[in-house]
Amino acid sequence: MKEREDDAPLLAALSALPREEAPPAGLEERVLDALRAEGLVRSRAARRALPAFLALAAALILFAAGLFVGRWQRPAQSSPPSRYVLLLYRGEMKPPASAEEEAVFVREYTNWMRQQAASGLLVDGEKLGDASRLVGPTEAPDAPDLLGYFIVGVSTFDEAEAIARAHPHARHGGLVVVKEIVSR
Amino acid sequence: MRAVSSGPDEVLVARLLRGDEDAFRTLFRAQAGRLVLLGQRLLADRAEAEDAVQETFLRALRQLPGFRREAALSTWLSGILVNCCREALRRRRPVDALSDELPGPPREGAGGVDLERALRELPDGFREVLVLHDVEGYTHEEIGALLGIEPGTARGQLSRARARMRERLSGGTS
Repeated sequence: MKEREDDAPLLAALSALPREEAPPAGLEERVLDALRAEGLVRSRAARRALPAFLALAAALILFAAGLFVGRWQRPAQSSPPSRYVLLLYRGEMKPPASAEEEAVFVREYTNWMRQQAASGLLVDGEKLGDASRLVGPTEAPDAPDLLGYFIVGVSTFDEAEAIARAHPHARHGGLVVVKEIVSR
Repeated sequence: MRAVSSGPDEVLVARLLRGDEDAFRTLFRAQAGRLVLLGQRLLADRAEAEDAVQETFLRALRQLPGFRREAALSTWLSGILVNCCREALRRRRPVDALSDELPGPPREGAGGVDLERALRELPDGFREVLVLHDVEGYTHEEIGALLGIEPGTARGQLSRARARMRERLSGGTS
């Protein structure tokens, strides 16, 4: 839009207006109360009680949201040769020690997901909830902590294992179990 | 105006998605002051602006799983706020917010009518376009998308809004 010459002082004055100010007192708590009421934010105390596998949880949530790769698509072939599930267990995984380390974790996990999605091998994946309920003999040992899973569509067990090995989870002490899905 | 979402945005979004209160406080403290001021200029009312900002954060966290990285988080929040403000304007006055209505008379003589007051006294539709373009730096295409109008309409509104501002600031009553 061509500017009129006599608009110059007005435009200069408008562009010089302050763009921000200190957040209003009380509004932060008011908004937080509303967010907590909807379950959109957890209090710090509640968050401390959660298992500390934050990077994995964040990455899996982001994956589920399609945030990094857009709405990733199933492989072009309607029926992949075989499907394998990659079960991600806690294993010996340590929580990130700092925000910077957490950022590295998130980047590594999301890069893996991007690569698999881009290659069309990723069929599905979800983060699982923190709580577990065990049904069975009361003397059963504690169930291993299953954090999430991915399903990949490839031709052989070796390919599925190679994809699992490329996942940063094992490198960070987590355990990945690969199993073929035998029924459709 | 728009920027590609940055790395820190990705980490913050990841933390927000798992309900991290500290992440929300970080987001709020980085954005709320800017959003309230923008809301106040769009609505010409401080209390309504704060309500609109509260609704903006609520909608943002509800919609966060669908957030795409085409825009920075700050730009995305501004878009939600603009929608909240438009809804507030419609509730306040059930006529088209873009109507070219005549403003009321200035409250003071020309010398005392400052820039912010002149903005407040603009018709809603003029004020929206002027604030978004000349204060916030949105393009006509972005304004068109935000307000649901053609870019050419935004240009026309802006031209008339500037003319109205010139008159107000030079002492005219249009």
